[in-house]
Amino acid sequence: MIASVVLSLCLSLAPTSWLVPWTADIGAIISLPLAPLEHAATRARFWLRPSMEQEDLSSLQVEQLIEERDRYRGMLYQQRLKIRELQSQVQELQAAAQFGSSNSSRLLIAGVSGRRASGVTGPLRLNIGSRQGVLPSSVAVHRGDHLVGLISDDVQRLSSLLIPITDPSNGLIEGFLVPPGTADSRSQFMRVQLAPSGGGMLHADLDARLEVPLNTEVRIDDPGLPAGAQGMRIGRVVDVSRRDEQPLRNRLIIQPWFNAHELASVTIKIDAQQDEGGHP
Amino acid sequence: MNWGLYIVALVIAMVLDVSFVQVFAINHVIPSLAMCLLVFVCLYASRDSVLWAALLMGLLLDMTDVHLYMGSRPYHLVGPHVLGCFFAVCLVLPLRAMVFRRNPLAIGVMTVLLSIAVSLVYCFLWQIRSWYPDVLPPWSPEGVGSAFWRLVLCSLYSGLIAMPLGWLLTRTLPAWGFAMGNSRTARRG
Repeated sequence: MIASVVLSLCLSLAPTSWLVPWTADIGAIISLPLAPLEHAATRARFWLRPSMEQEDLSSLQVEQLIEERDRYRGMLYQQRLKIRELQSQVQELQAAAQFGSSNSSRLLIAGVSGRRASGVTGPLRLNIGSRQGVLPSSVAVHRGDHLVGLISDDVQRLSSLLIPITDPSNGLIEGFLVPPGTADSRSQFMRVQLAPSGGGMLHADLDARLEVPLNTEVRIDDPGLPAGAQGMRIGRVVDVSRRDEQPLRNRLIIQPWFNAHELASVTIKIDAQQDEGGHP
Repeated sequence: MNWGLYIVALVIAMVLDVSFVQVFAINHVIPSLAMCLLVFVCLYASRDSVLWAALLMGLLLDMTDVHLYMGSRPYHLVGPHVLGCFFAVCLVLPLRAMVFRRNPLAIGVMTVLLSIAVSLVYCFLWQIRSWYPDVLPPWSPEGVGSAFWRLVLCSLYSGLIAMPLGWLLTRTLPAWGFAMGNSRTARRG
């Protein structure tokens, strides 16, 4: 028993790079038989206590229409960003080629089967994996164009991990602000750099001279994220306050539209560029 | 102790902890059913059985606790829960002689103590690891203080849930095959 405790102490202090190759596989083996039970328990949870957004829906048709509208709106913003990128490129043919290959993607519905027992943060386990065609770094969305997270690099055969977009491991995320009522204007959007601030929220600092109304929408424009994530909605501004340390800058608090931990299922979006491996 | 029953109960508690107990969430504070189970075993089983049960539970908790390295590479850290559970039962074992084991209130109070002790070791080890390069503690970007405070609230909630759950577990006592010595139990009737 003492040996077990000493071994645990050594493992708990071992370098992370040494733990990564083998602990993920053992964890996947342990979670494999638990996955169906976790899935059933998750369904029971959402049956007993549905998330707020599910209560608002009056019918399946309305839900489908909203999803369709949001998906096309996301594509609209994606295309706008693409157009701006094209305008900035010198070689028109090269830009046109990129534009042509940007848009097709494959969608997969994934149920959330488990999460950390110790809290309401961190990655979520999904009940589909590489067998169903999930690829690393794919984008997880909800209701068309609400980005909720990214798939981790280690995709198992029957399961995968979803990293919520508010998780600090994603680092800083670049986005732009769309004030309410300006969805169709061609004005230049303000760019912001989003950082996680805990509790499932994000924050961004901005020049205090720039006026940002509440409920301003924030969308993704980050070259470090997959193409499928560009232009997608991430949240809305719920608070604007002056920073005490930097009086010339305001801090925007951004609340994601959907918290990944509050969802029973998400849609995995696999870009055609990622999908070159020939999944069904 | 009936180890088969313990493993079944442990798996059920783990599954409910990772997938179901959010139904009881109050402002991100959730109870832990696994802690209630460990307290129940801690109150009745022999010392050796309790220590092994704690190690097994800690191992399973650590293997369901996914962390990310370099942004997106998942891994499991074996240790924080294993050592936390071991330390906690070492702390709680001497106290079991002082409580009425069948009293749900005693199970609740013991659950709070045990859960706080687990949280203490968990936060301590992760705080040490947060000094490693490329390692983010599970509570990032919040500080360890606020994380520990949230875990304390979770412990209090677990204690509350442990009262009815402990009462239910006590009803199943004969099935567990505990070697009942001269333990203190609440007078009935």
